[in-house]
Amino acid sequence: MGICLRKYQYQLLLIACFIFVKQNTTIAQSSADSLQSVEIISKKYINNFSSTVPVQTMNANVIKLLNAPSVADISKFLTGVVIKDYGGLGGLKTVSVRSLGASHTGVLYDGVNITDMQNSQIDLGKYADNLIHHLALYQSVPVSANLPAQAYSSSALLMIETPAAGLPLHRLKIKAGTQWGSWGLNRHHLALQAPWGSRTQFSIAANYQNTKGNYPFKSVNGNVTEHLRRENSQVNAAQVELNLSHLFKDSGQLQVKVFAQNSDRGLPKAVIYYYNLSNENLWNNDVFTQVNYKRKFNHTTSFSTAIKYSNHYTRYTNPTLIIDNKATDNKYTEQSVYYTAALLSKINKYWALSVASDIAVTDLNANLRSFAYPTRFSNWSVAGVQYNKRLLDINMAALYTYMKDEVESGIPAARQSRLTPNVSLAYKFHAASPFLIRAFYKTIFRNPNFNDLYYTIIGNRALRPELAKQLNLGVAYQQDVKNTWLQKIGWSMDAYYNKVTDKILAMPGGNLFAWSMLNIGKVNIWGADISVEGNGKIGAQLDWRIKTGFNYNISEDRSNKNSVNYKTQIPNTPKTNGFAIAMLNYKQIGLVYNALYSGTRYSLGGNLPENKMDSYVIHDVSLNYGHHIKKWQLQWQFSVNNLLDKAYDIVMFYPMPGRNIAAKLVIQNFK
Amino acid sequence: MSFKKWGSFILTAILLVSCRKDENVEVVPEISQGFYVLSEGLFNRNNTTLGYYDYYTKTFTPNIYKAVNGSDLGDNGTDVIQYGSKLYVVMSGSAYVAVAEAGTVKKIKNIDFKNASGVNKEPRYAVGYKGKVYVSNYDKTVSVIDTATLSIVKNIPVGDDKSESLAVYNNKLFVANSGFGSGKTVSVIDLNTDTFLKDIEVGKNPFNVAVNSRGEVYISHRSDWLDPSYVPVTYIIDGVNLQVKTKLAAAVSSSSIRIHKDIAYLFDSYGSAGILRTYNSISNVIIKEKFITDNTVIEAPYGLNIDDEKNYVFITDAKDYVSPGAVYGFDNTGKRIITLSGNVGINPNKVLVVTK
Repeated sequence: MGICLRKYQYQLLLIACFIFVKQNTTIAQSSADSLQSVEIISKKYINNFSSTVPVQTMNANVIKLLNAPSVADISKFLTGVVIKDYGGLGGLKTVSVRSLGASHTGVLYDGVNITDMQNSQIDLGKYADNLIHHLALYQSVPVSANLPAQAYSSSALLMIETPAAGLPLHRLKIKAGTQWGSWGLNRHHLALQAPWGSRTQFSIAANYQNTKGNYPFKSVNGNVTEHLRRENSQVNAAQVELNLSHLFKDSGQLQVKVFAQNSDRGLPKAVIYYYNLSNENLWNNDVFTQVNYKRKFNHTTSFSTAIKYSNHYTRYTNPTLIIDNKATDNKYTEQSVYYTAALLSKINKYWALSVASDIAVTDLNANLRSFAYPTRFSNWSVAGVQYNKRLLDINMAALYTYMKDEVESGIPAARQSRLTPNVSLAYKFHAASPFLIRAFYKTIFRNPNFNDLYYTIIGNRALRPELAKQLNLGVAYQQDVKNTWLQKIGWSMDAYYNKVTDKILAMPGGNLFAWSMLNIGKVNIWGADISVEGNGKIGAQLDWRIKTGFNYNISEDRSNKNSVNYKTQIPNTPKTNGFAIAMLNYKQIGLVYNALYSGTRYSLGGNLPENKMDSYVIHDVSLNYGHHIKKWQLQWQFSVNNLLDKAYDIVMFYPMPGRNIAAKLVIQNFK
Repeated sequence: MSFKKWGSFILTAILLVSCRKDENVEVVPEISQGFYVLSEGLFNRNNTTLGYYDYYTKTFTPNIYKAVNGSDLGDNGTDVIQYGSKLYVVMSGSAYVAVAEAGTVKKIKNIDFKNASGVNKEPRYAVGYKGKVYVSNYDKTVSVIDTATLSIVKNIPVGDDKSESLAVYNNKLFVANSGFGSGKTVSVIDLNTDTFLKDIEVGKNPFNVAVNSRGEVYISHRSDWLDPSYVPVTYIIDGVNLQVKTKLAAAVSSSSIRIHKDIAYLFDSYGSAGILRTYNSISNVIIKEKFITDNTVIEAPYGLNIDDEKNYVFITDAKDYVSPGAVYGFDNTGKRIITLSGNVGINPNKVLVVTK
């Protein structure tokens, strides 16, 4: 019967998802970035065990030992995070935090949002680890930072920071690395930082990666087992960043950043029984430039402003998907201009006020028939008040969001104008107490993206925003211990309740056979995050360090009482998942072991046995050796990933790689 | 624990594990009188199932194909027919037609449906005639399977791509070429020579083909998803002079149509939930505005087939198209007498009554 259309629409949806997700990734960050990074050097990073809001962090020292090639892979080692991973290096990877869905995860790259109005999900597989200095995933928003207003507009916020452009810089710093691994993997990076007079510095960082990605896997269909190789998962990608920073005499800081990224990736198909051909391809070309200025006025007020232009080009081809007698070759260009200004001012000893306002104009162009050519005008404005008196810390902020679309054909979506609050508080019983109690409440929404609204056939211009409410209550503990074997320990437990309403889902309906996007979803989520970290010494020269996290959640579909999905766990969301990283250092030798665990999941709603996906634990190990040759420091790394060669899928029928090895050398000058 | 105890413990554990593996194996019933249910599953999920319901034992075996053959059919099964003593299951996503014994569902052969460069032809629907099985494809061809050798002997080019349903009348094959919304032709193939005869122009997106005893070929149409203003109507082709004879009014037309003993069953797969009309294709009057006379609610009618002998009308319900569907059997007064629900596959699209 007539399924074909439906099937195609489904396929288009999938394509849409791919494209959109991929496309957006790029970054929008101009302004804050430079500012932030300057600030960073002087600031000590906050950790989860002393933070007034829950935050998971990962710094460069750990990142470089994980052998996780992208921000998405690093994010697997953050508590409460579920990655959608279609397998392989450089594949499409999006991050959902606390079961809210990837569209609710905001991403700041050096202080400015990366946005994707087309798809609203950021493909974090595109950002190479080599260029990353620090990652922090905040629930709610960070407190007392001079952030752009848009940073308040997502449920969870992933802050990516590139190496701090330290000022002043006295010498030329050079860093280069190369890595070679299984299935044609080779990755190379180079970074230079150079002083230019006493107040200016210039830096360039580049990363290139290439892989065939044709790893073997087993396709098991009942009593038929086929040994196949992943096809069409080759990746060819390069990223370049240029930074120029200047410190004025009045303490103002200016930073200019240009970021460019180009990738050419095969999109490996789902494993279909009896049919292997895979020939979809995706190109991304992302460029942005941002200028950021920041200044402190006396000791009470700091001001920052940034402007950014970004251009994301995406091309998707599928030579065997023929529509209107033409092979599919879709091209999209999303352009955006963004401006932000933020002010943080201390009124007195206890009170501080913050305001920020951002505006953005984004438009999307595509070579599709009956395309709407949408342009979106956005304004985010936030006003907050902070109270901090000894043991008590209170933050309140209200975000005003205004969005208006214009389209070249048809009627644009209704204007959005909303005020959403967030409140957080933290309390210590006494100043020396290692304990901290924290809580937050936040209401936020995600506006329908261009695909939801305008994608040919599927789009629904009458969509409302998808609402998310979050409530969190937690306790954190941090203690320096006098023992040598245990020098520092920290742990935290946060329980949360989230509720998503008006969730935007694709459903058949509306006109004859067309699937369309509808506000029909409801999800209730109860969960808890637990994190533990500790480090110490065994004997005089053996250092150990452990970092681990565990998440438990019940994420129930509450959309439709008559559906088999009602009150069952939402798809692709394990009830339990976690990770552990253990490091041992002896003199110049380091040994790292890490494990990733995911509980049972279901690939579709309803939790039926045929859609069950088994739990897995993936073990990785790496051996590091560091030494000096003259002025150069050399760091060797040999790693084995998926040591036990576990066969697993994260997305059903998209097999993940089995055991693989890689060797890496990083050289940097230290004088 | 002694070594012996450990040993037995381990053995027990192994046994338990191996028992667990067997949990899902279905008991294979003997096929006598009943019907098969083909569920296409979801795109890219390899979850097409062929189930079997037995009229006497009143039991449903959800995936008899796997129970008999040990492995699943694969992705996106769009049609199943019985021709002679064999079943032909059209696997559109997995690029083959599975041939099995109709009496046992035992696999005989998989007929590959890839073109010379290895690309899926995307077979869609099948019809058997004079020792051959004709299969519509998405690649602008109709394939001819020789049922003696079980291989494709010819690919006949047709007027447009994305061909869907097909039917035989007067030694001719009528194929609706949907073009995925933009197609506008019904191709006629001469079955004496297996050659393309002509294209008959109809509306955009023709889909189902059904013939009455007077040789009138009804062509249902679906909407054009790039043009929401398009109102599809049902065309009627004269099966002898091969010209469009007339059209049904838009109010009577529907996206899906079957004709059985000159009664046309008209329903819409999407949108207008549950409405199934009957229409006399000879006297051209609506027989019943609502065929279903009890309180059965069909969320999304997806397939409709009839048991000739018993005069049962089977309607499959795709519900929300992503969770398990249902199959309802009605007597000719429109009262439900059979209900399969809960263990039917996703998107059930065809009920095929076993004939001996």
